[in-house]
Amino acid sequence: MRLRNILAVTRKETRVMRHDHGLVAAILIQPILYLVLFGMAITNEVTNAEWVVYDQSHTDLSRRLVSDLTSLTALQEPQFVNSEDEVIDFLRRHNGLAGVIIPWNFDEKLMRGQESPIQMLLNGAQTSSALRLANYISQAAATFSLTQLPTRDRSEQRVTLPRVSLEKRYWYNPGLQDRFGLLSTMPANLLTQVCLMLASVSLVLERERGTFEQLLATPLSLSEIMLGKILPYVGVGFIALGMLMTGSYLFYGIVVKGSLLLLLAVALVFMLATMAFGIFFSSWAQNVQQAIFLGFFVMFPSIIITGILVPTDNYPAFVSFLSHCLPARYFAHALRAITLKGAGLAEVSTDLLFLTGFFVVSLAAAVRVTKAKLG
Amino acid sequence: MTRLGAKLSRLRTLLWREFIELRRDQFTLRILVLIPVLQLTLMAYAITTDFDHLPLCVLDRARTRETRQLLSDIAATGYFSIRPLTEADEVSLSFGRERCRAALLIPPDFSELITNHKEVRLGLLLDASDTTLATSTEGFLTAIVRTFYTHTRLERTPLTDRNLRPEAVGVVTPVRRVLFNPTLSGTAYTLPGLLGMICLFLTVFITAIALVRERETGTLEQLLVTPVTSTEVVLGKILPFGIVAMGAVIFCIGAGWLLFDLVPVGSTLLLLAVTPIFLLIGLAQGLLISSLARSSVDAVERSVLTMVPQMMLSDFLFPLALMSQPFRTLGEIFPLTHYLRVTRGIYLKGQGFVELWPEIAVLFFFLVLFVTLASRTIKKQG
Repeated sequence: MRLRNILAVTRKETRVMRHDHGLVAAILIQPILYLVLFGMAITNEVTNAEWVVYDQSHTDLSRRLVSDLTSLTALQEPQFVNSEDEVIDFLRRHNGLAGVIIPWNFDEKLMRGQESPIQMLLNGAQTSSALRLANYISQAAATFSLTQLPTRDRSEQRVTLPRVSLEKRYWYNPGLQDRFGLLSTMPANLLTQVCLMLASVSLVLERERGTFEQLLATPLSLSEIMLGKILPYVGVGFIALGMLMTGSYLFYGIVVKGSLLLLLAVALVFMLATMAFGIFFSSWAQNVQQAIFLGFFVMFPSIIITGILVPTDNYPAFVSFLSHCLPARYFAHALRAITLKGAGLAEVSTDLLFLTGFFVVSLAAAVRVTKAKLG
Repeated sequence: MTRLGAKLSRLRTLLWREFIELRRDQFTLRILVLIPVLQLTLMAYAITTDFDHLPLCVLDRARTRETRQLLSDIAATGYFSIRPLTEADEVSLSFGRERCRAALLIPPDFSELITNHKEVRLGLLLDASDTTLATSTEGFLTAIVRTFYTHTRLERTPLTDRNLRPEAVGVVTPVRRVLFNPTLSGTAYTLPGLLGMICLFLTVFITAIALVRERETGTLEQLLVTPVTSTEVVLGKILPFGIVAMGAVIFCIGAGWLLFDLVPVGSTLLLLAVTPIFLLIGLAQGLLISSLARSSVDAVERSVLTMVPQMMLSDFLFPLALMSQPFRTLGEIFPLTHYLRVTRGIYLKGQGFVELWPEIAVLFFFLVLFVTLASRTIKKQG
């Protein structure tokens, strides 16, 4: 294989790509889209959530509870309603997350040193967010119990009962901001889409138009052709990656803790691996339409089960196995490690190894399959 | 033959042609079938907020009977599996190598503090690069630890029953009552969302590409020369995909019932009646994209750009309720948001037509809008 040959194909491919403005524009819009969506819109924090309170006791203490719950959880001010039905209606029709019902004998029980239960009605149709809200409220209620309840003469009772509490420290993400994790793995999402679909489609397109056979008639080898076709997309990928990372830094202050060079190196290997992977899959497609559908078929799990959106820690065996077969998993892992944890070569060496292996094997397999089909 | 009869018979011929072509294209057929299956399987199994045997590194500097009791209490819940550490330096190494995502630090005077009725503070270090995992871990451990001194053994109970035995003083105890999804099953939440996504994908994406392809290969022009009108060509092209998509929806509902024991609380019939409206919206969108796109790849990019924001902002994966107001309003623009309210309403809340008619009306509005847009754009192209 000679570099000069590969670059010749790359130059031709770049010229073709430059004519297709729409395509490049569509690719480059995506980093902007993701920056907005994942940086601003998507969050698991409860600050914007709406909730209702049905206060049956209407005492000073219950009002203080509500105001403490609001301030401690950083929630919006709740809406006050006057019946349990209204609370249920809020969850049912308005799709609210939670409603708190404070019983009529709330302050009496507390004054007598008894436990006073308050009801939290949770919207099970919004499972994880309702739970998260419930946790926040529970914690706030516990804090209220310990700090706000009036001292009594028999307060000795409270003091003698020790508590075991947790002093929490969040590593790598002190503010516990969701967007850190999401934006750090976004390049894996973006580049998977760009590389998998485009590289595979371009080859099939060539085959369909008949220009592939012309290429084969030249002294170029099959692997040189394939590599040459991949390279321009690596360039586009790097541009998109650059946009994403610059945007994350400028707007959200996300800095790569580890070595930027290492990150770019992993990105390069990932792009090559994914595109070879895509080409391998597309050698079975007979036309562009099939190539596109196949690309999507491989891409969808690449985004869902590779740790980009959801943690991979609790997969059943076969899902975990599938996850290990996809290049995106290793890239997402390396991205998070380098960006947030400042990992070095040692920690991502496994990822690099796998990705290189993917690249070599996929390319070889793609060449083999294509040669066989050409007969 | 009447004019309508002639139209219908032409349409029928076109549909027949589509099905023959689809049958010959085994490849695409297999993919069309496999994609919903794949999505269903992956999302159902992969996306879960519950976890078990998460590795928890513990640095126990006290090593007394009480600490052993605490650790065995934690392990007994089944949520964590304890990995003992011997010195503090190992923590950062463990986090770096990802041997664990959380580390519990027990101070050396743990037992003394307990005996003297003083407060004990345990250190909890969390790998917060994944906030979902960190918050869940924190929540579980806080609950376990808080009940430790009252010797309440916390069995592996369903989330809803996890009422903590309070300390015997005046405390405010929140009692949970979960409406609509009593087991808090993640799958029950995901399946209705998945229905919407499958509809979206099989209509917008596939139709756009198939139609552009038709134009590219030139067979569209051939069809236009025949006595078939352009409306019939279009209808003949998009209806088969609508039928396939409907089949996929029915398949998913069936799979949800057989594999995951998920049955809609409300009326399945209503669900099956509203779905075609959403499908037609998607088909119209696909049509619109195909007439605007200049190549197959262009069509792909356009449909991806249509689908991605819709998937993110429609309450499908990420809850709208937690987003700030501008994005919440933006979410209302997408048909998927309203369709998901219908599917989740029927599946989880048992809502009927009486409660859901506003959402259905919005879907109708979108249908009219997109069909008008699509037919205008196509007419312009002649």
